[in-house]
Amino acid sequence: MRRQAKANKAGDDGMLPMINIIFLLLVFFMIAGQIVPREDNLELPASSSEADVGVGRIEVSIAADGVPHVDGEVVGGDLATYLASRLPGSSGNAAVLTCRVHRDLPASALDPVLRAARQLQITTLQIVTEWQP
Amino acid sequence: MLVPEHARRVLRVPLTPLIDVVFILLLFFMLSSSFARQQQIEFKASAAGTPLQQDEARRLLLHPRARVEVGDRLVEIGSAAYENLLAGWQREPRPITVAALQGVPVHELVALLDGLRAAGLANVDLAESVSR
Repeated sequence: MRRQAKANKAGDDGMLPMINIIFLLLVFFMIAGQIVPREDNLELPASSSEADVGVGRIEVSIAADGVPHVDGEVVGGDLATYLASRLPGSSGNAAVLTCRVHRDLPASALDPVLRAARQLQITTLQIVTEWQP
Repeated sequence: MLVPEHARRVLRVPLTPLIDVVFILLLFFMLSSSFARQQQIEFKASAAGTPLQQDEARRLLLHPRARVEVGDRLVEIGSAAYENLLAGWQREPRPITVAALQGVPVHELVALLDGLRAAGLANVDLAESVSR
């Protein structure tokens, strides 16, 4: 009985280095990693741009299926009409439209976004890219 | 003196539930974390959605396989002719209109915009894609 208890104690002590490493890994992933919403079928194009993506902007996502989404919702009808309802003011002059588009889609997939920007008088467009040195 | 067995037992914190929870947390962070840096390329949209501007000299029509049409010439991106062209455009502040032929993938268009930005030509308008 006593021998078994001693063996258990030795086993627990042997686990300590592993727990230390696991804790270190956990801390590393918590600090260095960034939790972003997983977007299936959306691979961003690469660029060497260093400009950060702003927050709180109107964001249009176009995944591999080519269907535009705004804030996770599918845009069934006209993109401009849909975006107009989301703009803070009556005019989009001060707004910035951010676009996440799948890298392998044809460039014409951006046309509805460009047309919407013109209709809403949005002057600045951004394409989100994956940084590549 | 005879001390009962249970009184002498040292109280130990059970490590197994702790390890279980830590492993689950580790798995969660490993699977949901992303180390990819997301950046953006910004361009003006004053010509967005309009046909290519009349100023033929300052427009780039992107063809597949990293070639651009400038005026009536087809220039390979990265070639000496292309670099000379950009060097000439750097002296003028007027915007450059960029469009892509239909079927050219987005990553090639972004690579062109990125190259223009890197060359100091940030005043870029993106026009709708062109079908031929």
